[in-house]
Amino acid sequence: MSDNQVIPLPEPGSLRSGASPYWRGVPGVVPIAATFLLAASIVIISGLILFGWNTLRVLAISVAVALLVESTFSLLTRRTRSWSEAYALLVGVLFACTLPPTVNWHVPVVGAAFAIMLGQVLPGGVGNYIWHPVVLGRIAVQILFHDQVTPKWSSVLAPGHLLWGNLDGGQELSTLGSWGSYPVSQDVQTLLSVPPAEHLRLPIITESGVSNGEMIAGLVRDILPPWPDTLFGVVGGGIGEACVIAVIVAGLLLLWRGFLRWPMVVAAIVSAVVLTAMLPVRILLADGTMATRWFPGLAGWEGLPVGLVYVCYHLTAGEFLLVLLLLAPDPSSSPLTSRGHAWFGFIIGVVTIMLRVLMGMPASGYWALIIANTMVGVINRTTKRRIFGTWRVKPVY
Amino acid sequence: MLDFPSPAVLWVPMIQHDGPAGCMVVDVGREVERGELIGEAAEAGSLNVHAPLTGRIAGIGHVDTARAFDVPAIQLEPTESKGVDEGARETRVSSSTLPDELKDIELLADLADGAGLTDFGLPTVGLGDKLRRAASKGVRDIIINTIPAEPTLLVTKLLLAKYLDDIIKATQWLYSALDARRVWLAMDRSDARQVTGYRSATSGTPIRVVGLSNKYPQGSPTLLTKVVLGREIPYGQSPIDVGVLVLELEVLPALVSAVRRNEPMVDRIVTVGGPAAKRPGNYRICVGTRYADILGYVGLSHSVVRIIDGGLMKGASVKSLDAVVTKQTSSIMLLDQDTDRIPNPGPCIHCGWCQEDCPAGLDPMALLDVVERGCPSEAKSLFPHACIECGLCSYVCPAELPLTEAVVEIKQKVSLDV
Ligand code: SF4
Ligand code: SF4
Repeated sequence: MSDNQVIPLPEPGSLRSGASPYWRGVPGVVPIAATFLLAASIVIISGLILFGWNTLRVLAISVAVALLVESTFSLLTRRTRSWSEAYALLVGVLFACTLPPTVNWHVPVVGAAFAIMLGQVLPGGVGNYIWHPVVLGRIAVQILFHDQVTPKWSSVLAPGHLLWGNLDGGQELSTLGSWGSYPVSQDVQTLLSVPPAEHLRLPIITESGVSNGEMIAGLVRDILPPWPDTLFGVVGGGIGEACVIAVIVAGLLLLWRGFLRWPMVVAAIVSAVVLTAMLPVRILLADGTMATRWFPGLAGWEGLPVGLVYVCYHLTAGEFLLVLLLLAPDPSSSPLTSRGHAWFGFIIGVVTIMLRVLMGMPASGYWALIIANTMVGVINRTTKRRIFGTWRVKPVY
Repeated sequence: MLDFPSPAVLWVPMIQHDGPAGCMVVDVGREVERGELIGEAAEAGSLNVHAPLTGRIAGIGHVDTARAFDVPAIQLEPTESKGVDEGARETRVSSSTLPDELKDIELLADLADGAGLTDFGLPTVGLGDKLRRAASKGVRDIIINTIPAEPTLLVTKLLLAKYLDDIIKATQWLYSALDARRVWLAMDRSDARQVTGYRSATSGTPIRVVGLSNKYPQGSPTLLTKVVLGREIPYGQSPIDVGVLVLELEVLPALVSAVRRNEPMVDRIVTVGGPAAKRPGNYRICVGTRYADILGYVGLSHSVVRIIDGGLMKGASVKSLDAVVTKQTSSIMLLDQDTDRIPNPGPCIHCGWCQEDCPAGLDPMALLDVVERGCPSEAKSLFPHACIECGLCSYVCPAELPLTEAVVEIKQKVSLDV
């Protein structure tokens, strides 16, 4: 624009009125969905690298069904909101993150349809649901297709075949040691492993007379994959569950944007650590009898803090971090205040570990989130903020 | 500070604060001197109004201001052609000839009243009334706030740099007149040089400099009282009730002018800004200047869709170019089509940010709900009067709901008694 161009004064009556503030920090709800989508796509990319095109297959089915169901319903009810599609897309992507890459096509179809219908459409959209739609869908498929979503063997692409390999058939990894030690030159494209979450929820097979430390050391040494493998995700599991590093990066993004509040993360991790260190592990003796051993987190063996290693495995195993960092911060199904968020995280941490360790439940993180979501009403009522000036007034000097 | 030329005509409104109108004391056709009394405070809470420039009373009528409509006003045709800046006050007396102590708060309050000074706050009251109230409540702590009331206001920086002597002088008067314990100068700690400069300049005086974060709404009197002195103001009371007088920095130079030369408050340094302003900056603008004149002089770089009297968070929209500037005008923001977002409210998504970010710990979502259901009597248990009207709840709400508007509405409807 040239400097001497004269812009006319506004016409009479053309000036806008309306109350302050005239400055808005968050322009609508679509950017929230966009940020969560960005976070979810980081996780999806990690799934793509670990599981190849199968990730895209599950993702495409899940997203397509989610969008289809959402738009069908908004057509039927003639209730259109610019952002309902954005949220359906988000539900589709996040739902794909919770599934293993090897599921049959009908699992994402049923699950995504369930998630959108029960989770989002029936309650009346974003802001009205109590339970996170993704978790509702995930619990539904957990009940309906148990073997599909928590298979005995998890597939992951072999070294040298990441991203481009074909997730098919495969060789059982447990006979060969860790993923990293598998020879690259082999023609096998897929390795089968048992994710640590499965081992951790099952009783430890051991012999009588073995000390706590020795038992846990045996678990860590002989049965569980190396701990760094669980960070990179080469131990298999759900598309978004496997790679802990990607989940943490996504969580940091949400933390930075303010959607994830740190009290929740701290409370969940602290409670999970304390509980795993304390709660008894179940052991299965050779003669078939069950027993329990308390305080596994304190176990040490030949000067090694194997108990701490055991706690670390619990933190990175399975769906815990995905639930905590990507699903729990959903604005609508989480509590209102930060103090509420701390309690919310506390419930997630406690319930996840209790269900996993004491009851041996698979997918305990999703159940924990459902339970925590149910408690949000109570949490909100008990964690209201103190209104300025309403009590504890300092004396006037 | 930029010079603002004297406009061809001024419409000086009789209400320039949040209170009743002054009473006109001049007739049409009369010649008045700059600073001559033209509107007299007739009832409690009203303020004197003075002629901003030398000129002729050309008529009597009504004008709109940003916060009031159809206010009785005096039309003044200035005859001096000088700019409205410091040039008009070249004959200043050096402030060092003034007394260090002014023991009588009544005298100080009367001088402030005579000069028609406001307390420069929002809501705006007369400075004299505020000082008398402080004296009668036995206030012993004074906080001078130099933190901008809004992020876009730039005036305090300028005053701090320019009026060090005046600031120290006026605080000494207040200190001795109120027999205060201490005067706290709340400063933005991000400008470390200015803070240390003031620390050394005020050593040996009763002034203590406190460096604070300038995070909005730190400049609110309620929060300053809490942050500086650790006193939480009980529900429904004001800082004076807990023994604290919070004054805006702009009061001090104005008070010195009033005491020194009986120079009344007829203009104000106004930050003109916003994306549509071609020459943004701080101007000394007379009260009664029409917005049309201001826009015409400052120039436009984009076409304006909204004129804000005040800042972006707490300002008021100006609906007509014929409206005029008052003693309440701290800044003028000119917004263009791109920057003025018209909110598009959707259903609340229960994210809780409004509750989390409210500095008073209120639940704006519940208060909006009460307004929408039309039963303000339920609002009492939600303590709406704790709201400091900062606008943060609307600012953070992703559903773009008019939360601040609702809380302010409830405050007017629900009486204070708990
Ligand atoms: S305007 Fe909103 S955020 Fe600010 S104090 Fe009032 S209710 Fe709280
Ligand atoms: S900020 Fe807006 S959307 Fe979020 S809880 Fe408050 S009113 Fe609802």
